[in-house]
Amino acid sequence: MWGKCQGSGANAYQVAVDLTGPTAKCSCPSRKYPCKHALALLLMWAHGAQLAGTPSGVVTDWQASLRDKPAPRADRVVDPQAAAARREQRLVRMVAGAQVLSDWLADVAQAGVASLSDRDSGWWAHSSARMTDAQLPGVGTRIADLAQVVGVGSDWVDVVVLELGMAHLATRVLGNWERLGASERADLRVFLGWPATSEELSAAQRVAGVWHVVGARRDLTGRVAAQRTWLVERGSGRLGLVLDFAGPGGTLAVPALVGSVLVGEVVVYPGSAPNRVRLGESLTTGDDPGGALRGAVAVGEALALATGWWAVNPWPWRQPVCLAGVRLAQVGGAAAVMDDAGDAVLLDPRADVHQLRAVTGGARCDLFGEVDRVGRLLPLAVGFDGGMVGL
Amino acid sequence: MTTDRVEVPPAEPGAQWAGLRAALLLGTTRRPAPTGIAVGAVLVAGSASSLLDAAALWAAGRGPVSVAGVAVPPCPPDPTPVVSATAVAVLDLVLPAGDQPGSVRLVSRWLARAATAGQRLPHSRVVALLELGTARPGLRAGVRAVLGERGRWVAGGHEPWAWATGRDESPAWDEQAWEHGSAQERMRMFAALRAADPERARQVLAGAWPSLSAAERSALLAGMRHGFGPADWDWVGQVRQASNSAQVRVLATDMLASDPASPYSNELTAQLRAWTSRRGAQIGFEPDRDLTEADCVAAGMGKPPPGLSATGWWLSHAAAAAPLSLWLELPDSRRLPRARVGVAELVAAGNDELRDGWVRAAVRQRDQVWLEALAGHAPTPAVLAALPPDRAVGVLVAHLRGKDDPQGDLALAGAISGRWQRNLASVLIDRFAAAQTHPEGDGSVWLEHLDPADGDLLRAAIEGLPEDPPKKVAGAVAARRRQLRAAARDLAMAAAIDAAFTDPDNQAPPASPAIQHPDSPASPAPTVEEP
Repeated sequence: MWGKCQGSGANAYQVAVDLTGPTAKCSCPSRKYPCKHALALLLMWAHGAQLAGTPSGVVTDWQASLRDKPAPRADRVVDPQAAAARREQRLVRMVAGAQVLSDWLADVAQAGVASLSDRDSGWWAHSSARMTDAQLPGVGTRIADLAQVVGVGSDWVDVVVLELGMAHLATRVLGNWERLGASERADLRVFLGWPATSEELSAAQRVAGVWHVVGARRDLTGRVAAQRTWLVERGSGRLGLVLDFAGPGGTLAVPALVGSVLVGEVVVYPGSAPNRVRLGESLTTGDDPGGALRGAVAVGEALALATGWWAVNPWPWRQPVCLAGVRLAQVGGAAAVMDDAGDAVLLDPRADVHQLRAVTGGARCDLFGEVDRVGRLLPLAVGFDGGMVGL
Repeated sequence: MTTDRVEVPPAEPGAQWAGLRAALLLGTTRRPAPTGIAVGAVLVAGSASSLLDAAALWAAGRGPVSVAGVAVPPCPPDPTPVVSATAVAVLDLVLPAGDQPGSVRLVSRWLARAATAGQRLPHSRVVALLELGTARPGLRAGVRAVLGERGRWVAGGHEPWAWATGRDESPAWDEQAWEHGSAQERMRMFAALRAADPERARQVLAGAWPSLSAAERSALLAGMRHGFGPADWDWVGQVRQASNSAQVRVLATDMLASDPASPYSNELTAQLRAWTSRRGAQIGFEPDRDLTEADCVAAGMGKPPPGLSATGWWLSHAAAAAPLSLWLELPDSRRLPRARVGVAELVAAGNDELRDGWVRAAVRQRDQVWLEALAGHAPTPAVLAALPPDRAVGVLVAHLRGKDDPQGDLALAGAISGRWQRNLASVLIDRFAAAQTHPEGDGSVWLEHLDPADGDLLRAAIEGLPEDPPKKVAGAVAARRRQLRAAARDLAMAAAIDAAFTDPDNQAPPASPAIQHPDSPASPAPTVEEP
């Protein structure tokens, strides 16, 4: 389909639209694609405009070029040898990069954590970029995040010491790569920022089940928006974390409603529990309401469970917890939640304490959330008899 | 790297962590790491590397532990029924657009309907409404009415929401709080005291006066407007004379001038009597000296605005303070004993400064005869607002009939409180749609004064707009179309709000499932509601 449009230029623009694509071509200088001329042509077509006449040269040339273009390859054949060689190469570069990280850690340990509060943003940006250049983009991101933590709040020194310890641990474990199991390798790769390839994911385990959405949260770190959605499989109690990211100008996936149910398969990323998962293509929304929060335990037990996960995979900063029968409390003037035994856990500074007060009224309830390495809880959902409310 | 593996008695975990933390905080350059700290199997050996080893082991082997907490007393149970799910859905539709003028009115309507129905907000929306009320004080009374027990309890935990706790309605007088409270608290307490015991409030303010800042003085003095009467004249008069702050002087003057019997008004009235004369309906003003800017400032009127003479400014202020009867009592200089003059004739013959003063005097003195005469001559928003709504509508419709230019229509009509009668609504909408200039105002006036039943007038006007207006006025017509459409949309939403509280299908559901409360198993437990 083609047409001419009299624009601001001397010559009318030659515009053509291939409806099979659909794809468009126009002789106008606009950088937008498709340009307004092509859209206008589509609109005229949609309103039933009559098509007649002979296409101009521009249009016929374009038609010819479209025909010559090869069809997109249906499935790329992966050469397993080449893939293995790429992995090997990446590993060698990362081991070399680990030395850069070790040097940086030693510098910080010698100068002292206190000295970090004197560092300017240029130093932090440089440190972060060095790790990314050393093939450790995951560490680069953690260092960039650390810049926001230093000097903030009462426990920033604990946060930094633990992060230094984790990074140091990563350099040690990377040195033993050959002796690691598949799951341990996957956990370390997440920390170092070596993402699972699409081939690895296509071979990943798929788990069918009835998935209860028990928490959803959006955060903006730097210019990247992240959405974390926690799922619990109804029968097995297995946890899964769906991560979505959107860069500047991008939009996140529509968040799943806390309390709703998804039925079908999820793709489980390699690594140790609780795993990151991806929603399967055939997943459907369940008709029945999700019901109450399951698997809730006392505060001490929940923290022990999280500690157990950290013992296997020490690198995630947060672990999920599901607390039974907790209510609002105070610890030295700071907001917390505690169970009947009097065991309390402090709330994360980012927690919306007011909403938690409004929804619970200070009464006992079950709570799903994430606890971090220094023992601060970010509540994500409140459970009550027969249902739950997202926070 | 040297890592000495030596058997050491295990230290308590808290102490181990504290030692490691302190060592890493300072760094090994400034102070070699102590060799006494053992973390797991690692004895820290004074090197940076062994400190990092210890931190790594800690990160791998340890997680957070619980701490001892003190429970917060729970919210008492709330017997008020919650609004229906439909009403919540409608509220969610109007809330996110909280910055548009129309949506504030819609939220306000929703709050009023909920309060009339005797229902409260669901717990999950309490915080959003508290935040909205904090940002928009105009919505506070409405929010307060539907917060319920839970809302007040939540507000009690956050100082900026103190307006919602109900405590501020009439806070008890508390010398301590008056001495040391925040400016806001002092204002609230003073307003409550003034309402309960005006005499004592004045004495308290007079006692505190020397220690107050100018800003506090004018804020608290304004609080005395409530119940202002003869007993206050002396002290406010002294403040007027003695204050260094122009703002306080103007405020005190205005308070005194608002009562034509006050000594200040009497003084001006005597002056006017001496300087004015009447010939037929014509008022003459001949002061015995040239009035200057200094005279105006000395009288607490402030400086005349640019373009207005000091004489005009003084006359306008004096006329605003004097009793309106003065003008009818002035003898006619033509010495025609039988010729009486009417208010309408005086108004028609008066100059702009006089009429400005008379408008303020008529509003202050609530004089129906003068208000009607002034409105009949040239309605102003202040006069229309002071007239009873049905009289105001009559005057305005007559005025609009004789006026071609629709500019200023809405400013006038907006001053009439409550819903516009249908004949006025119809005239205003037709004139608005027919005009070919860019519309004035943001269109919020429509939703305030129209009823959902008037939606047909808006729809007819939208359909009547020219499809293909001349290029010169296309932008203006498009802007008018947008405003009318927005008004029609807002009215449709208003109808949805009304329906959510009147349809029998949308009545409040029975009580929600309850969470058992550990301390009071016998009493009704607080509830968690579905969103």
